[in-house]
Amino acid sequence: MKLRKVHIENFRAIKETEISFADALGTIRPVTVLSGPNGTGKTSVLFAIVQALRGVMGYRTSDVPEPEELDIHRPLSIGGLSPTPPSISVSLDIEFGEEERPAIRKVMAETNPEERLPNIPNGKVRAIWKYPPERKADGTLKPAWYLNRTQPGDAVPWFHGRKNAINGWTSRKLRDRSLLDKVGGIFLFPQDRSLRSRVMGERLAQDEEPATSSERKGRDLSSLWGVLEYLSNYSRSERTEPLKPEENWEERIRESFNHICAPKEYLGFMYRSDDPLGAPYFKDDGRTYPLHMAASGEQVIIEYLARLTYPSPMNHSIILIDEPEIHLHPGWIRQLYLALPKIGIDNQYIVTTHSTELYAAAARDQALIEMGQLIEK
Amino acid sequence: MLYPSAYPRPGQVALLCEGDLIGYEATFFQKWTGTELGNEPLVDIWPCGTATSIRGISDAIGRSRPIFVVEDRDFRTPDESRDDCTNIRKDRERRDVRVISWCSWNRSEIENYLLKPDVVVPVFRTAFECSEDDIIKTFNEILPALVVFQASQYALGRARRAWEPTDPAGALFNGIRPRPEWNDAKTVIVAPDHDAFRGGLEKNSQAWVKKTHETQCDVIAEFDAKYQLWRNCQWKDDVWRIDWAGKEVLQWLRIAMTSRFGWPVDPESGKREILKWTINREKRDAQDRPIEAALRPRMINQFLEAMPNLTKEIRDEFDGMKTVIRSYQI
Repeated sequence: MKLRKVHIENFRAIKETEISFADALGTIRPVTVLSGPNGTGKTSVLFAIVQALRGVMGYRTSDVPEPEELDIHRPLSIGGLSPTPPSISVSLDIEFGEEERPAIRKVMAETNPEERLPNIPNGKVRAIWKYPPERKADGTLKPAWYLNRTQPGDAVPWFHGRKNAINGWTSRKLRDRSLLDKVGGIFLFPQDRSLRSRVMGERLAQDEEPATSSERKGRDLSSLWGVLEYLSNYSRSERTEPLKPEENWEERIRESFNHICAPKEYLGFMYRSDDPLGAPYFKDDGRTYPLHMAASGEQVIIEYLARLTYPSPMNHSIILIDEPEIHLHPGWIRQLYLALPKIGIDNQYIVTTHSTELYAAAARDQALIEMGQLIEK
Repeated sequence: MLYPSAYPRPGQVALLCEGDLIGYEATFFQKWTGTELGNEPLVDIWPCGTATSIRGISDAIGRSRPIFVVEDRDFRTPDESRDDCTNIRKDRERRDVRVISWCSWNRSEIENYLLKPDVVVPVFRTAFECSEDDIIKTFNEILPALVVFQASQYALGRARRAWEPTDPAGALFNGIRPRPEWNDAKTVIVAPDHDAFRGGLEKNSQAWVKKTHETQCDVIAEFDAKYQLWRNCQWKDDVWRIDWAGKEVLQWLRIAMTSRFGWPVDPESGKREILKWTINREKRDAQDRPIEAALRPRMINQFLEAMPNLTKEIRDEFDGMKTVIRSYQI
């Protein structure tokens, strides 16, 4: 799925704005960069997209708080609140791709055959989310994540594809694993306020545990450490048919990391005699070191690559990245920008930034959206 | 020798080229260095506008970072261009500018590489929803119409080159010094000898006046020669892709294509409108600018994608640049 256009009203810093993610020829850009001074609503755009889709797509994240009254952009008016309290409205013009539509149909047929998928001309759906939510017939409020309206009117099940694919694969209802790679989702990389805890998760706690694997807790797959161990084990596990190169996720992560962060290298998840618990290891100038000793920038890049790979590689997806430049050397930012379109298949990246490097690169690609100047004329 | 400075970019090498901040050169080099060199070394791209500006900016930053310069060859022969670059390099190095390489494109401009069929056809076919034959037919119509312009630009280039030695800046002070010198033994400043300087100046001046009369360039003959050579250029030929001003060819291709196949006035609905171009040059350029901007990244991306399959001559040119930058000991 791709986002062609978003129209936002009364959300956080935004009174009203409309952003097109298509170029002058109408093609949706693989990467769009939003730039502007603080407070112009860059992060609000990303949050608005998440708020509108998180419920219908089953995207669980604690990085975007549940919507609340304070999210409503209220104009200042004499005597307090304006006579008609404004409400948030987010309208998204979504397009499901030609490869994705039959995959979603198959996923739904295998996992939830009762749910009917209506025809959507050219895969286009307009999804509208509002807050405060509407009331049900009994007067109670609908859930905050409720998608108010779609055009065509009954297109909501189209958004259930990825959620059903992952749940279906986990519950073994979905037989064809390749469908997981063909159905798009949504993912947000927030501003890096909690890098260490996100990256390490419970790894630090596990350091206190016995070293033998039989006594260890299960892997913590919410942590980057756990995901990298899982992907490594997946690559190395014995199988009757050899692993296809495109399914060797650890190798693919290694290649991307090494290109972006050269001359540093990601070696993979390793168990060493002095580290029987194992850890993701890196190499730089002949020195090897585990994830927790890696520089913040290395942790950020490896996190991007891993999160876009697990639980299944994100393809045909909308990936939102809020200010990726935090922790990153300008050279790595440039490389990340070049690498993004090659990470996954047919993904759409929407990135906010204050980085002059990203700004320049996007401007040259006609992929820059300026959301305001420091001094408005 | 580099001196410590507050060089305001992260790179280890500064690559100076022509074109504007979001021009073809800057867009290409940003992606090409990122893909081919990565961070080893990290290269900053400095689009400088014109070749003359490159010289000025090389002075500004070439003592803080080693510079790699690529300028347009324009209508110079490859030998002339090589000699020019060697001379400029020596001149800059005398001023302590650290030059990794000072070269020009093998073709006239970067746009000339984009005129290769593997680049221009896929981009224009998609952008104008037309066939390859439509594009070839259009080229075969615009190329003959551009022969006079291209030959005239060549002749102008020859005339400029012929008159370059008459620039008094290099000739009048030849062998004479108007500056004072310092005498360490006496710790005093020593003024130049007025009579010696004036005598030298007079001699140089006379030589310069004589030279301006001697300098000749048969502009008409130069024009005729190229006109005859190029008058039958067609799509299948390659000479125009190498020696013409590619920028002009691409602009007229855009004009012809938008005039016949239209241009999206509403990208969302895909609605196209036929554009009118019977307007003056300023308005024409203004109308063309957003069209060029929209197509530019597509052309560069397609060029990078097609590069491994392009001719050996082109691949060698870019591999050579890569090798020189990489092998330079920073």
